[in-house]
Amino acid sequence: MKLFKFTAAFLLMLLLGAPLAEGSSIDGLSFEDPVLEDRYRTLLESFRCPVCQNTSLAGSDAPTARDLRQRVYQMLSEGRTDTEIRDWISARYGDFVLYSPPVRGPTLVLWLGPLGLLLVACLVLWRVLGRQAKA
Amino acid sequence: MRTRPLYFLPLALLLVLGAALALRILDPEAADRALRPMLGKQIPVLDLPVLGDPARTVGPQDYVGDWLLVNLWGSWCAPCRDEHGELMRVSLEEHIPILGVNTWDTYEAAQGFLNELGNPYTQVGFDVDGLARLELAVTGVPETLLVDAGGLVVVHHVGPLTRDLFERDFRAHLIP
Repeated sequence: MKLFKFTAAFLLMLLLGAPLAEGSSIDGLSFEDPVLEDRYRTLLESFRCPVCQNTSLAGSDAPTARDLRQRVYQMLSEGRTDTEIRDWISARYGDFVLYSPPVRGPTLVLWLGPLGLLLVACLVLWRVLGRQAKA
Repeated sequence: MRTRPLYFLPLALLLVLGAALALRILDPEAADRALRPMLGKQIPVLDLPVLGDPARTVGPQDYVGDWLLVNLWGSWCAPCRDEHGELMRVSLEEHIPILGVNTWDTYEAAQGFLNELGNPYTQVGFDVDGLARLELAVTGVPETLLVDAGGLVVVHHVGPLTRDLFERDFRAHLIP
């Protein structure tokens, strides 16, 4: 019973704490409009920080990351589209900072390679099974 | 059961895919390009207030027709202090203008730094709102760009400049 009470209290605490965490802003920048705020956060998560390369733009403390966050915030406030913002950043820092790089040129191997492999594997499996059924 | 050549196709494809990815990952040039995003691009037009004379503005476009070094620095930055001697040498011995772009800084601190250590720059632009450092796609300071007469970035060097690095990466592009 004690354990139950403890667990319930813990869950309640998490539940109450969640909106607080959700409401916290990065660099003190946040949008009143929840749709814009959501786009802002999604965009920041979709870029790699060019300085700390294993961190997203949202999670990096590097001054350049702060610059880029402010720029994304500003462009969103000006009513620019997600695509325009992505293009602006990749025009400067390259495809390298996009967590999902565009499908073109050398990145085709990344996108289509595994799919091609799966297709070939299916083809082989199909032929093998067909042969065994016949035998 | 006889071994059919077709069975080895997925394995062969996997090896090809692996090799293609490994080539990119292990290619130091490719990794290099990712960290030097300005390489091979046109240097952007910038209108930066001139340090010490903010009524006037300066930018790389003022130097079109000449080769140009663009050096990003801040007075607070220790590696900038380290490379300052080399920049002074370049300003005296090499026939190439150096445009300084002072960023993440204040007028006073920047001026103090140059008064203390000497001024190697042909001109210094002050990056007021941080726009220049984003337009030049820097990841920090110091960074040095070598721009050809047509405004194309030929070298994008990240980190402090040294005599050795200058000889290795910049010298070949310069007219003796």
